[in-house]
Formats: sequence, C-alpha cells, structure tokens
Amino acid sequence: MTEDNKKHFVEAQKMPLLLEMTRKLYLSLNIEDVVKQVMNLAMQLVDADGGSIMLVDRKSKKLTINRAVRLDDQFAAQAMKIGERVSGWVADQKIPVILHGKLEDNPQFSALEGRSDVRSSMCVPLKINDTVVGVVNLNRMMDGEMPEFNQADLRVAVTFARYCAAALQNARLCETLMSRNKSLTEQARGQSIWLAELCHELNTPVTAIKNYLANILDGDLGEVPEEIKERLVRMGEQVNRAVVFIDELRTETDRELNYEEINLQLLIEGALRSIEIWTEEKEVKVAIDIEKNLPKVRADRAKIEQVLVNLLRNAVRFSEKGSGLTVSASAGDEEIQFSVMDDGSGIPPEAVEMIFEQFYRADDDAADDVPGRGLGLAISKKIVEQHGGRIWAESEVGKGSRFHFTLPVRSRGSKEQ
Amino acid sequence: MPDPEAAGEGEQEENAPAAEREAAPAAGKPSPEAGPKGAPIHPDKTILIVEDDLDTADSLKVKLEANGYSVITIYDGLQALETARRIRPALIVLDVMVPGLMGYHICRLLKFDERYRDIPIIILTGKVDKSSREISTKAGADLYMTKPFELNDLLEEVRKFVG
Repeated sequence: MTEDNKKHFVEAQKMPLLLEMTRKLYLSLNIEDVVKQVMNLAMQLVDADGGSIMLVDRKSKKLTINRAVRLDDQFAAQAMKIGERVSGWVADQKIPVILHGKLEDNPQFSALEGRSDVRSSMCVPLKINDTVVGVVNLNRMMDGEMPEFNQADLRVAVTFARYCAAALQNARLCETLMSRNKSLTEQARGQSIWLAELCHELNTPVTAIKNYLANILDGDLGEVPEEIKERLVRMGEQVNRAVVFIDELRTETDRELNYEEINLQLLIEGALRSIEIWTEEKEVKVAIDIEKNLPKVRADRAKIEQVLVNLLRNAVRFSEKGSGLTVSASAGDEEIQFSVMDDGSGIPPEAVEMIFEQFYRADDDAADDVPGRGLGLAISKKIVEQHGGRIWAESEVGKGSRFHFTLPVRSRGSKEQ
Repeated sequence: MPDPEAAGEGEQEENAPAAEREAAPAAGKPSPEAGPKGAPIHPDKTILIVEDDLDTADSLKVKLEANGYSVITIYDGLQALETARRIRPALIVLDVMVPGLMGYHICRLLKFDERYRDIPIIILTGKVDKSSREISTKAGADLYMTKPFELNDLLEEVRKFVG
C-alpha cells in the first residue's frame, strides 16, 4: 500500500464513524449539547488532544469560546473580533488552515505569537450557506504522541464542520422557535387571565345598573311615568344583552373542565327550563326524544348544558311563532349523539360551513332581538371538541336546521380518574 | 362567671358612632333614608349589607327598605364584622370582595362562633371563581348568589330567611 493509499484507507475507515456521529448530532436540538458533542466528536475524528469551539455572538459579532479542551482560562474568557488572531482570520477569510511549528513562520500570522504547548493545529470555519457562524480549533499537543496534522485530517475536519454547522443551525432555530412558542403561550395565558378579570370587573357596574333599573321600575323610589318606564324596560333588555355577552366571554376564558358523571335526562330538562322564556314567548312546541337506558357519560355538566342551551336558543331564535322543535339523544357504540331540530327558516349552504366560526352572525333581521354576539356556536364547538366530541349542522333553506353534537361514552375524563 | 358577650358588646359600643358614620350613604348618592312605601314594617329586622360598590349597596338598601326592612350598609370588612357582632342583624348580605377583611373570612368568623352562627348570611360572588360555591359553603354561608343577580330574587331569599 502506497503512502497515499494508506491515507485514503484511514480516511475511509473514519467515514462510518463520521456518519454515525453526525446522525447523533442532528438529533440534538439544544445548542449547548450540540457544541459539546461537536467538540468531542471532532477530537476523536482527527485524533486531536485539545481544541475549542468558538461561535459568533449574534449581538457583539465577536467570536466567543463556547467550549474548550486544554486551553488556559485566560484564553477561554476572551472574545475575539472577526479578523483578529488565527480564529478571527479563518472566520473572516472563510478558509481552513493547518499550522505547524511557530506561528511566525506563516506569512499571514507573522505578527502573532503561538502557543508553545501546541505541536500542530487546524482551524476550520463553521459555515451556513456562506455565513460563518463560528470556528473549530483542533490541536495536537507537544506532550501527545500524534504527529502533525496532514491534509487528510483537514479534509475530514472540513467535512465534519459542514455537518456541524447545519446541526448548530438546527439547534438555533429550534431554540428560537421554542422560546417564541413559550412566550406566545405565556402571552395567551396572560390575555386569558386578563380577560377573565375584565369580565369579573364588568359584573360590578352591570349589577349596579341592573339593580337600579329594578329599583326604579318596581317603584321602590316612587311612581315613574309610563313612557319613561317603557324606555327603562328596553334599557334593561340592553343591559341583559351585555350580561349574556360578558358571560360568553367569561366562559371563553375558562378552559378547565370539571368532569362528573351526568344524567342526560336531567341535563336536557335543565337546558329546556333555561330557555323557557323564549319558547313560551314564541309558543314553540318542544318535543323530547331521549333513547331509553342511555349510558352515562362523564362531562362538564355546566358546559354541556351551555352547549345545549346555545343550540336550543338558536333554534327558537330562527323558529316561526308556534312551530315545533325536537331535542333528541341517542347512543352509538362509542358516542352519544345529541340533536336539536327546528322547522325554522334554515341556513343557506354557504353559511353552514361558517356558523361555528367566532363572530359569525346570520344576516337575518329576525335574530336581532336576541342577545348574543355570535360567540355561542364557536364556544359550543370549543366545548364539544374539548370533550373529544364533534359538532356539525345540516340545513336546507325553508326546511329547518338540524344541529348535532356527540360526546364520547368513554370520555377523556374517565381516563383521568 | 362573666358574660363574654356582654363584655364584648361593652367594648364595641365605644366604636359605634364611627361605624354608623361609615355606614351612612356617601354624599350625593341617591339613597333615601326610608323607602317611599313608608316606614319599615319590620323595624326589628335589620339587614346588614356589606358591599364595597356603593351603588350596588345603595340599590340593595332601596329595594329592602321599600319592602319594609331596616338596612345598614357597610363598605369595609373589619367594620362589617364589628357591626355584625354589635347589632346582631336579622340577616347579612355579604360581598366576597370587600376591603379590609374578605367576605369569606367575615362569614367564617361569624358562622364558626356559636354566638353568631344563627344569623343567616347570603354571600354575593362574581361568576369567575368556580370554587366560590365550595368556599362559600365551607365558610358556612346559608346561600350564595352570583353577580349580576335579579334584585327581586335576592328579596325573595331575604323573605325566606327573615320573613
């Protein structure tokens, strides 16, 4: 085997090691981890017994040592400008160097004094596209047994540096994403808390306004002329719209579910009771069709009742005076399906897709006297999906609408218990 | 053996004028001393309202006075406790969030004291705290109502307790 072939053989033997190391490197998504691994791997690959990794600090644009093996503390603490000393030169010129003997022997470093304990060293830039993000320094020390680095070592180091730079970039992107994600999550939580507090604060003025209106309308403060009373009644209705809206917002901020075993019959009856004022006003006839022996479900009772009330209220809202409405519940193998069916005006097909979106509101005069701001269905969707169920609507203009939602028989709540 | 209650009342009597001043409606607030429907028909049945929102307190006072109850309103937790102990009202309407001493604490201090535990307490809470029902129950409240509530619903409840 010629000397050249021998070199190639050694290099080729290192390739599987190089690949395996790089694979591991890519799995690491933390910069500190990557840097630590790069240092160890690079030293193993080229049989170095010392070295350092310097990364370009994104703020100061200086090279700072992130990891070092066998380097004096005084060097380790130093930040280096691009162009300064060997590492700076490599970062600036974007080309790797091999140095033996005295630094002064190399024309570009003739003014520098080298380290006396280093026999041979390589300095390789870490490049992403054409941007240098750092350098890897690898040393063979005077007290070690290895001879000086050769061109084959340099080729290995350069190849490795290419993968390292990419792994480093990966880790940097990942850290940026994670920190952004964290701050967004915190921001969202902060907003949610803020909103909850706001809703809470709004209760105070609303209570006072409602109560004073009741005082005046009930004649607690003396008789009130009829035409003033009429306006005060309407004022009260407007305040109640605000109350519903605040309540919807509040529920929106309240994301935790309180699972309990619920009796569906009672749940539906309760929901119907709370819309009684509307069904009576419109003389809507309500039919209940609940399958016998429904399995029990675990769910947040108040929230599921809220969904039912929302659907029922919507149904009444779009129903003609004196028309019919059906609430049904039936069980499948894995889920219970609730349906609310009305004989109302129906929803155009293009709108069926949109009604579960926030702030969507049917463009219909008939709905204007009903409290709510189009949050109801969006909130219902959220609640049902939080329970692991589905919600959807079927409708045809002139033939009424059917709203359905499901709850899993084995809900997530039962697993938690 | 000295009567602890009598001694306590003696001490607190000295603070009475200050407490009464605090309890008076704030200047400029539309709060009549008695409802237009005439003098209290339950002069012996005083309702203590502890609520730091002056308007909410005033609207409660107007409603209850119009229905024949005597009403004292207090806006501060510590004074509320002192007044409750001193005058032994027929019922207390207690807001959860009052400065000085939280409504829950006032409720607890009264309900876990055998001298005062038979005074009915209605706690008023915001809707936000899911745990408010639990805490109110733990504090020994007879009833809790969430804001905003219907004034006439509250009146109904007061009637159930006081007559």
